[in-house]
Amino acid sequence: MRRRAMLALGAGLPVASVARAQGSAAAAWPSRPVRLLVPFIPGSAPDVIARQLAERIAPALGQPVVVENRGGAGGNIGFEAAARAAPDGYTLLLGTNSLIINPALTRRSLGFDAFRDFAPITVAFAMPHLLIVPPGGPDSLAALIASLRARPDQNYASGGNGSGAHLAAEMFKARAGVQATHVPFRGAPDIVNNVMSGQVQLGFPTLATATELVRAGRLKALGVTSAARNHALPNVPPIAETLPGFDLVSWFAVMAPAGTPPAVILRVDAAVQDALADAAFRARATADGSTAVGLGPDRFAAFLRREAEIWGEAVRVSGATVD
Amino acid sequence: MKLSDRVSGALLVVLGAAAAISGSRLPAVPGQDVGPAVFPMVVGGGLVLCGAAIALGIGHAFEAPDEEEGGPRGQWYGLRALVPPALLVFYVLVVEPLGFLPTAAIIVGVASAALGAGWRLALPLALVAPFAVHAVFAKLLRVPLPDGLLAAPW
Amino acid sequence: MTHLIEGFNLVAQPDVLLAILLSAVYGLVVGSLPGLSATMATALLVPFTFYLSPIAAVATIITASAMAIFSGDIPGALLRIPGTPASAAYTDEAYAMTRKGQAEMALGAGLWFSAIGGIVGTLSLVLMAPLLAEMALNFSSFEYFWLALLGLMCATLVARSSPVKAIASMLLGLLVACIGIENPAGTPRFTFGLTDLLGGIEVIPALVGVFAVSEVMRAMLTPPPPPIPKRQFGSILAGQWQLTKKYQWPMWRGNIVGIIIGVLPGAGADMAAWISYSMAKRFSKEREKFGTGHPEGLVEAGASNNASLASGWVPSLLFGIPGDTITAIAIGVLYMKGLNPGPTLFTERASSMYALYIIFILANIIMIPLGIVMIRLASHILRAPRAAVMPVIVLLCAVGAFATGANLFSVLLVAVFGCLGFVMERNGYPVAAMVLGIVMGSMLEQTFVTSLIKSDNSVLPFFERPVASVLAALTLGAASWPLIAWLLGRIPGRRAAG
Repeated sequence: MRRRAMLALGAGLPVASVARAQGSAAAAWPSRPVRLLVPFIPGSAPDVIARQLAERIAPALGQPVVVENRGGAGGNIGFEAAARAAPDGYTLLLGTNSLIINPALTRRSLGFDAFRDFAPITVAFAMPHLLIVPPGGPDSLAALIASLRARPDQNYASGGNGSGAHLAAEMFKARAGVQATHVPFRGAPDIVNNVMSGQVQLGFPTLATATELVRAGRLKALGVTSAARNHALPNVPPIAETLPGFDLVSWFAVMAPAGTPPAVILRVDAAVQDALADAAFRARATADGSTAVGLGPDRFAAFLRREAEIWGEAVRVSGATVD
Repeated sequence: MKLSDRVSGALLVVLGAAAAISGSRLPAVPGQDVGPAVFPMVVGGGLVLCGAAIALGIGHAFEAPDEEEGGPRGQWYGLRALVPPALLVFYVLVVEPLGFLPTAAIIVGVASAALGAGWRLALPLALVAPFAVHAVFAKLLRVPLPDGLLAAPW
Repeated sequence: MTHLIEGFNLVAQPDVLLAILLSAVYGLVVGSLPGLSATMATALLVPFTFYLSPIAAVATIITASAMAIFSGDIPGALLRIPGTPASAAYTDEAYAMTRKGQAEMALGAGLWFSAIGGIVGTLSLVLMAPLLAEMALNFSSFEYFWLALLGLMCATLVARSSPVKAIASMLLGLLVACIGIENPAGTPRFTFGLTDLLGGIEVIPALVGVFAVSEVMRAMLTPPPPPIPKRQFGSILAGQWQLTKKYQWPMWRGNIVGIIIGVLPGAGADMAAWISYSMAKRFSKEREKFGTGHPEGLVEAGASNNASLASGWVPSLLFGIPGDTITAIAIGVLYMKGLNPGPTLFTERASSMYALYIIFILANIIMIPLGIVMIRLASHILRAPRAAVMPVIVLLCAVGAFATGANLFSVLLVAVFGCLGFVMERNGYPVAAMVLGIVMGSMLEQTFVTSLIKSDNSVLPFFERPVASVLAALTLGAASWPLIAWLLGRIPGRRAAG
């Protein structure tokens, strides 16, 4: 008991005080392995991030953190499972922007509500999308917009209806006032493939999937969707420089079912923040162009509301709502 | 469940028609002239054609002759085949409240007995196999098998 | 040349060699467990790679995935539970050999020709990676569409049954593939309001159901077969050498087809094995023996399967475009270790590239001795009484299906597909053809819809591009084959029909 409290103290002062207030049950947390639900298949980008985080925060929690993949239906199956899980601190969720996109895509009610069913913990990483064109394509965003105005029958590639790449492109179309036809492929890698070979004229894959090809000159990058430049491709300007206010990123966050004890939330947040502050871990995890965010529980809720507005607008302008 | 080709073909016709009809009611999607309705309609239509062909006996000549097995049996003998799927459904229903180890022991024991094993084989098997499977899947590979009433000793 | 020597030095580190050995054993064991795919085996390795040097980290992924794919054939051959959709193409053949008392021969063929396919595939990676990558890049959705259709046509060739019933089974698989929201329109289809069906039907539970559960269901109705005579086997390898000599041409054809299909992201090993098995049957002098436990198809499909795995790394390493979930994981590990996949990896980090090549070859070589040990151990199962083996299979079906997504709904699917598979087989509908439909369904629809969008609803581009037109001709030829065969069967009179 005493030893556990000391451990909590080591993880951060505020945790220790809350833990005392919560009594022995929370102070004893975690007494068995904690599971981190990933609503996507093994090998997907969220899965790789989850496995890195799980490994890094386990020592601080004093118990293994086990990644459990519940893939399918664009994340809905896993989100629903997390929403229904007992809020005892032994279930964490790797949340992504799909959490707020998916409900906006359908008029049916899904088995979860992003605001009601989850306790925000930490937004860990963000990943911008990259506007790419074939090597022989337009040289600048302005040139692309002019080209799309002149020939509105051009196509853009996405990883599927309602994917980040699809919505980013629709948002771009709306803001720039241009037209292009949506070609929904089976997954994000197909975007790169089809734009590289010139079969489709543009696309908005996540930055990581295209970085090396841009560096090698196999693709031309005209802009990043984040408000700031990205460290992986510092020469690529933000789209916001041409279309002010354009800011759309995919993000990866640690969450828990609503009702999870605050002491647990603070301790997990402390462990994640600690990991993000570790230069070696940070370098390893952001090598692909993602950025460390480290937004704690106090600011996460506001972040979520803002994101819901942004992606909600993207879904509206795309007309992607189904059924 | 040996059906005549007429029956199985007719079943396919019904299934194909149902798929095509309910598929055709799917809403169109803006920007896609070939919407979500087309594929189920084509597949359903194909099933109708194949089902009709089968019911008419087309292609029957290619089939290997049946190997009829076994002698005369009781009227309900065929129901024994349903034991494995029934055990799987049983697993789905009770594994969470009861726990993996007891559920698995019941499944192994019942299946073994149904296959004609004496209790001297079925009982030790039902006791050992669940632990072995749990050790490999839950302990080594971290598959989250539920504890239920009886947690594993590791 | 200096790069090659540096590459050797990178591999010849004790930590790298130990990592290869341990991950080989790990891959063999996990791959042989029904329901646990090679993808799962690889994903579980990711946390361990954090502690390893870059080369050792990649070595574990390469080795474990190659081993897991081979050992996925073991439950397929011994128990009729295929480990991957790819091995479903030849599971019935291998299982037929097991029932003839040739389990070691069947598994040995899987092992030997997998290793050869892996090595030939690696050599193709070494010698012509850039060339293959350009080829893959020129494959547009038009070509993929024909390829998916051609793959589906294999349904009529792999089965020993009426071609009409084979096509019906395949269509049933396509209908199953319609279920869920993962279609080009993102519209939920045939989900009956169930969230669990939104994601569609996973292949692994369907596979386990139609093959393994239906087999146990059959066992419930039949008396135990006479015990397989304990035969004295010579060396597993000696027999393989004879097969290699006898079926040299199918083996090379399998290797080449595997390499070509493997480099196409999204087609990959699944389709390579099916197409190669069908080709082996189509061009064999002894077609009537296929399906009765004849090794020729195993030779070609086994070689093709693993050749495609090796060449599947081409788009992953050169463009960072994963061909399947395993290479997707590998790309993640490469990034973490600073070996960013992309064209520059080949020029700036040439010694590391050579190290990867050497690991591929090494993994395929040690696969042979370790695989032999695994086969000898696993084949003890055949001497256990049926009433002891089958109950454990039921349990493994439940746990294995659950393991694919930690979802009890998958277990229910296994039961449903078990019943479906049982009824289908009793009535002469080949279940393998249905599995093929499930695997290929989404690719077929997706490529068709995206092609039409790109061509503004014109059908002409489906036939205009050179590769597409060749594939179209092949597909239409294969499609009209049942009709031609039926007509031919009728012309000589009623003799053939009666």
